[in-house]
Amino acid sequence: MAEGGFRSELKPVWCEGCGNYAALDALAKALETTKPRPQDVVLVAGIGCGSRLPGYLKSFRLHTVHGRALPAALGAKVANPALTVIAVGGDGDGLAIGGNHFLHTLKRNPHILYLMTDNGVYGMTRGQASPTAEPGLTTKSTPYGSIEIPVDPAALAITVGATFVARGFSGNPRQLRQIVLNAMVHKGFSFVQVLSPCVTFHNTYPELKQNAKEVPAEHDKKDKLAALKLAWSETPYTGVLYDIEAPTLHELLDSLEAKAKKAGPDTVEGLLHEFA
Amino acid sequence: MRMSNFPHSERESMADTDIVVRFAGEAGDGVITLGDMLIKACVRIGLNVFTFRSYPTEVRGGSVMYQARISSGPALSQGDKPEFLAVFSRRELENNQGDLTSDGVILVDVEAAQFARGAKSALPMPISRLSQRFGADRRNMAVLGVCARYLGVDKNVIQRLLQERYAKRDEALKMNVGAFEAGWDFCGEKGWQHSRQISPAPSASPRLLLSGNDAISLGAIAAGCRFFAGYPITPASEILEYLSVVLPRFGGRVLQVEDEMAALAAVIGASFTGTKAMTATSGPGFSLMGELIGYASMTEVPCVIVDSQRVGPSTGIPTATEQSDLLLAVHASHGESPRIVLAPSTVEDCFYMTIEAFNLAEEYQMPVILLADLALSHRMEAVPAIEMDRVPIKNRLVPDETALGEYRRFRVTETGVSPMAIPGQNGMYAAMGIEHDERGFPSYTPETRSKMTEKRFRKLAQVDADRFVRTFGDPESPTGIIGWGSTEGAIMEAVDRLAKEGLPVHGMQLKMLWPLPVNPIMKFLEWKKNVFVAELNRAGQCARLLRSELGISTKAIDKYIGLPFTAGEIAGHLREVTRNG
Repeated sequence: MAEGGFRSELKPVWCEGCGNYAALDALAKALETTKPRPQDVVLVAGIGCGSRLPGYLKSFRLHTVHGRALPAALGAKVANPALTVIAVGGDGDGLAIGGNHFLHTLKRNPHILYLMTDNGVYGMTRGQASPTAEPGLTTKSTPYGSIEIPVDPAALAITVGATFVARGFSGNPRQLRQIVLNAMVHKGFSFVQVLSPCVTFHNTYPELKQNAKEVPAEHDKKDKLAALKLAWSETPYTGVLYDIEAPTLHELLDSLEAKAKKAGPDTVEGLLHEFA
Repeated sequence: MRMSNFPHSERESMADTDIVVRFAGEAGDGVITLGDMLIKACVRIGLNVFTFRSYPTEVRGGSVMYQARISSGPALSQGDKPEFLAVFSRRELENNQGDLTSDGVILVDVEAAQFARGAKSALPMPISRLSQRFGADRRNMAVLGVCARYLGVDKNVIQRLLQERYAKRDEALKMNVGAFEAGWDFCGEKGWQHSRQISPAPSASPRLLLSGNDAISLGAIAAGCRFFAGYPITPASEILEYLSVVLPRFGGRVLQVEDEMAALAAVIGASFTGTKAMTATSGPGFSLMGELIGYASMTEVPCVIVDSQRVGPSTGIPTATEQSDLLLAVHASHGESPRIVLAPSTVEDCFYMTIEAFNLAEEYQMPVILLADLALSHRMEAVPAIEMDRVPIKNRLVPDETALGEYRRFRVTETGVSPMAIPGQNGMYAAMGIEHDERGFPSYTPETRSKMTEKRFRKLAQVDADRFVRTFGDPESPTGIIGWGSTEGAIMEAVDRLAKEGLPVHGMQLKMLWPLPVNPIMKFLEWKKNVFVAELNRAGQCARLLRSELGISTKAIDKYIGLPFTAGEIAGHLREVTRNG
């Protein structure tokens, strides 16, 4: 295990071989490369195996309730845009109980990195099917096979307005590090889906290792339809799928502030006077 | 033991003018603008006002009712019955005329005048004919013209208000003034004049006309709130809307988010970074916030949550008032989590107590819930000039940066309060809902569990709840009445009326419900034979709280029909019992 400036003294509780290790490693490397001061970093998580990740890094950490990582991260970043705000969690936390926040946080384009470790099951509660579970997947809660259509997080993110969408694979740590680094420097919301098998309850390493392909070099990352096509492909493409520039939430809020300041008084006394 | 009352501006007691008027029309008739203009004029000439309005859940077509008490005295409640009613249609006439005093007067559209009954006099007015020259939506201005002249309000004051309202909109100003003057002249031609004219009270100091929601919003800004997140909901939306307009001018940020869970999560995220933050909602949204209230309490993150209560459960009646979220506010969230619950009584309270809410959140690092209700949120009152230094602003305890080597965010202290590090500074820690040790690391040992639970609850014991009461009436009386939140004025007025009848009653209004102001309550109860608790819910929630916490048995005055108390009905209850021993 690589040790670096951002790793905390806590030892991860994950199973040996868990995909989360690669995600942690990639995030630690990206922080060590971009070098924010640890005290300027806020790591936000909900609940689940993936949501344990912040504990293993040195930073301020907001370990919220299940599903609410993104709105908590949003509040932190909007209140203090100088902070580096990173949200992490699994596909259950982010797409089931927190699914509404996924949709709405992305469409605001706050300057936040969101790392979703996706394994198709609820590992922490011992392996029930999660939103990305493939049809037919047999788990304790789907004893006769999953009968739902799985969510494709990357395709969903592209559709609802994310300005940076990538898919990595914990079995390809070299590429994953590069992806997370790119996501870290992206201005605006960057979403990284990490195919991160649960070795205990749903080990997809063999299939992914066989099928996963890197995004072709000639892919135009600004082409939304091309990005969707790759995201939706039968082949699990990994790499940066989509990367565009757009005004961030904070820039837009700053321009609202300028408009508001022109519209009326900016002291409590001045406001009170308007009610006289 | 201190028995000081929660501070209030003095209200003058002599009443030359004291009348109750009501306007009623369909949504879209402009009834609220009409009422607001008239009471604003009254406040400008030195009078006090107290309004109550009811309106449909639908945007168009339902009934809108606007009642205003206009008084040179204290205007403590909306008044029992209107003595003057202005209605736009037959339906509103029939909905409202039964509420009029026996000698009341109805101003009514000519088309409906024949259906007026029971009133001493009906004044028929051709609303459409008078206003149609000035555009389709000016009917309310013509009615305002008649009402103002009939009641004796200075024409110049209203014209000035119209000029302010339509500043830089010349055409709209011309049309509105035109319709207003058509009404004014019509009233003059008819020679109509109310028997009790509104007379100015010129000596009064200038006041502000604010709604409860205005006062909460302004109080939040004054307290230093610089982040607000909310989701639209009646009757709290005006807080989101007003702060969206003005908070950015203070460098603050307002987000309309996807649901109430996102709202409180974002508020917690903002507060975690050191920014004072608030959300505002009503019952349905407040129910959704439960889990995060427990999280904020567990992680000791200051936050302010306004719950403007409405009729529940479920959707209930979104546009009617109730005080039925009290026990939810005290207990919301699984497990056991300290929080503070405040309940302002007046529009003035809404301002100062919102500052108190922020101060308490900062000082004790826990969620503070401000329980308003629909009637208070939308009530308009004339508020004496705001004293910015009445409630000094407090900020959370932060660590001494030089001593951060051994920083423990959740250090067990005598008061339970431990310094809170802010991102960007030293003192990195994790705020986690998992039980944790002093450093913030997960810990499930019985020792940690007990030590940290006690630490969190110890903060609650430091809160000076005893100053959040107001007492009134006769302390020697064996009859006492306790209320909480928005009902204060009606109860106080009932106590006043009974005193004049020679029936002394002692009153106490609770403005902090959790923790309870135990000492003043116990003092209040000494020598009492009968104690009533008046509240707008079915279960007697405050009475239950007093019984469970203090072992007190009280008699209930409960009302749960979506309307606020009138002074008359409270006086009626007390009179009956006092007379019957």
